[in-house]
Amino acid sequence: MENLLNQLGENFRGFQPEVPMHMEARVMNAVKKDQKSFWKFSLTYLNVYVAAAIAGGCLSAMLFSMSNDVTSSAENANVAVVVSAPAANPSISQNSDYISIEKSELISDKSGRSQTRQQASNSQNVKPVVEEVITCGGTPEIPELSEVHSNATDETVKTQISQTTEISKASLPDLNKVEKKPKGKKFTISTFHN
Amino acid sequence: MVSLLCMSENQLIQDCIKGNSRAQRMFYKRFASTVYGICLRYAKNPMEAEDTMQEAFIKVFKYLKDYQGAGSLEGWVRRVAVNTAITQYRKGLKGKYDAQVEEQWHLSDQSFDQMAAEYTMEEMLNCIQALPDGYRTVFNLYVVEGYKHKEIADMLGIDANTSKSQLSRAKVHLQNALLNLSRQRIKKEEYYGKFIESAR
Repeated sequence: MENLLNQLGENFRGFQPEVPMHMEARVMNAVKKDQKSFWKFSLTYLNVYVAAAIAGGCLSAMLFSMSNDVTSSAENANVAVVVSAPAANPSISQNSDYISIEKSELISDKSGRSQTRQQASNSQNVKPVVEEVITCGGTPEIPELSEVHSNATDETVKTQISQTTEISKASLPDLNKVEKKPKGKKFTISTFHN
Repeated sequence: MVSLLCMSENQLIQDCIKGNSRAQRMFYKRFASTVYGICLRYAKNPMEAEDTMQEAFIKVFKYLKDYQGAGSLEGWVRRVAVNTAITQYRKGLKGKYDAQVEEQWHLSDQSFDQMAAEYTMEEMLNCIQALPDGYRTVFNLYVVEGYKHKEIADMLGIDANTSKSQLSRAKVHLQNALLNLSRQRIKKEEYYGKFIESAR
């Protein structure tokens, strides 16, 4: 029995039947198809490339518009604060005629504390006026006037600066509302005022 | 074309790896009949054998870069073809329970020897193809490829004893198939004998 099986095995090992003629084309086509990679450009995958490009464009446009919304809302929040401080400054220039604001910048950190530095220079008679407004999130402080030198209109300048501080006080709640976004518990403003 | 015919095996392999279609065609022509022979043994019919052959050549060209040169190229191609056939068999097993006859059949060695000696390769191949999938696979792996039952068990994910029992059942099935074939032969001979007598 074992001998017969061995003989049978040997016969079948060397068994090489005639291959059907159509198999060559079939196998070669299948091999070609298998070797086509997605990353090699081919007309077969053209529709896939187009679909992928459209999908990518839509996605990037969506992301761009979303990022624009976020930045614009953040800018609006900042502008509300920045604009409020300079809004008072024209009154200085209007009244005094010789004080002009050269630089204004806003520095804000996570704690809600903001600093507005304004440097004003006297164009004709008045020496440079440096004003620093430091406002805290909870309790706004009255700005300290570091240097004020003037020849004739000391009193008017002081009164105008006091006006600016009043206006800057009025703008503070907007900053708090924008930057502090309570996620869990809500602390109402009424308790803060009370 | 002449250059391709004279091409060394290494050069042929390198060109096939690069995707040269002429070299691949040459490679196919060299091993097609060997692979087809293996696929025919493992398949139920020529159609299934063609499918297996296609899969086998796809794998051969895909993994040709992994051929290290240890052993003959033909042996490597044969092994890929056998593995492909086994994969096809295992795919066919999914969701299919092959109701196997649990009877214990005994076959006398002598009768098998007598019968098997009378038949041609083609007839034997038809009988092998007529075997149930599991029997045919184990029979091919054990008798033709020369694997041990333990190796077959590992390859097919079955127990070694299952492999043994499937082999013995394959032999019984083969015996029955050959018996039927011989009966048909006798009937044909009787028919032609009567036909010749009547013609005289």
